[in-house]
Amino acid sequence: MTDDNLPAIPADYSPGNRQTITDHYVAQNVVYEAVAFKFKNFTRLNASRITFKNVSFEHSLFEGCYFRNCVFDSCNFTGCRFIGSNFHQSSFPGSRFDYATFERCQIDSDILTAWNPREQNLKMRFARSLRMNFQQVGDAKAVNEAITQELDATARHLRESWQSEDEFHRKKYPGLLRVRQFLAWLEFWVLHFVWGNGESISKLLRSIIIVMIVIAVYDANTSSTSATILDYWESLKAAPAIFLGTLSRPSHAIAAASAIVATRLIALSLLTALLVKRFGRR
Amino acid sequence: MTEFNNRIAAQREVLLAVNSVHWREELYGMSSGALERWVQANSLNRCSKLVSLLLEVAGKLFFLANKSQEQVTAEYRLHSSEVSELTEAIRLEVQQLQVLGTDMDKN
Repeated sequence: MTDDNLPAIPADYSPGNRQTITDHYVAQNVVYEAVAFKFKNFTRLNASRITFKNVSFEHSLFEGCYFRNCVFDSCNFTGCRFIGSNFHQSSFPGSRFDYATFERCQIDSDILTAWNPREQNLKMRFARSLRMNFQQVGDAKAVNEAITQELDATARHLRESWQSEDEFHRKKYPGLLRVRQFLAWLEFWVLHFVWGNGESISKLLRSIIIVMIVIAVYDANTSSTSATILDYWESLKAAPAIFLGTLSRPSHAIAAASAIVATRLIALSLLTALLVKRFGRR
Repeated sequence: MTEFNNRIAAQREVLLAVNSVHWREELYGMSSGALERWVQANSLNRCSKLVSLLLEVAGKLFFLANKSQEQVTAEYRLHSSEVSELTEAIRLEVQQLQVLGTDMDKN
């Protein structure tokens, strides 16, 4: 294969302003540095016990870097990419992470609480990127923390996207898009209520109890024409058995009995999915 | 205060100590940006004892590791106890300010 067939780079494309910095280390604290760390490709940049205060790292790339026990106080990591780097025991109080992504990085999970942007969709993507990162390095506990943050930010973002009256949301979701965002939020909310979007066993158990109460009310009303408190109580006691299929009532309509079976199958499969998802990582 | 305090818990303790008094604007975090904002919003003197204590503790706080069990070292102990002492000093300072503040209200 030859490169002869490849088109040449047009002459009017000028080379970018990106500098590559390889195999360096930061020897002393960096304070209020707005330019020196911007638009760089850092490869194997090292630092240990260094404080970076108000430093702008905008749109930089960190590859194979090693920052141990460092403090990044109010730094700007807008658009940064972190690849295969080690931030063992470093902390990031008040730093910005708009559009930052992480791959295979060793990083403490308290980075999740370092930054709280006004735009919840940014927070959502940040938590999602970190979740993938923690999965890649096998930190199961941090994955769960990241998912919790991601779901929280998603819920807020979806609610703000149809409810909030501020300019950003109304320009982004005008007219019918607002209705679509409302439906997306509704779906998210329902799934969150039913089983915490696959994260909460207690919420799923709550849903199953609600289903049993519905079954008890239906059962009491079909077994006698005017149900008394005692009938409701007896039905409530029988509801778990009806739900699990160990007790079948001839008085139930076919449709209702089928609905109960369908609910049972769905509830048990959700429970299985939840257990596998939650505990299968370890 | 527990011997092996982690980063977030230590930060929370300092914030609670500072915010136990009624400020014009609460202190939201220990990053330099948050401290700056708080100092400006409450028009505090940058050289006052409270502000300098807060700056000092902020510097030390974020060198504490977040996973206490990894850090059964003398150095970590030292760090942790320094932060505890500073937190205590801040608490005292804030209490004094509160007493002074109420005295001024009475006058």
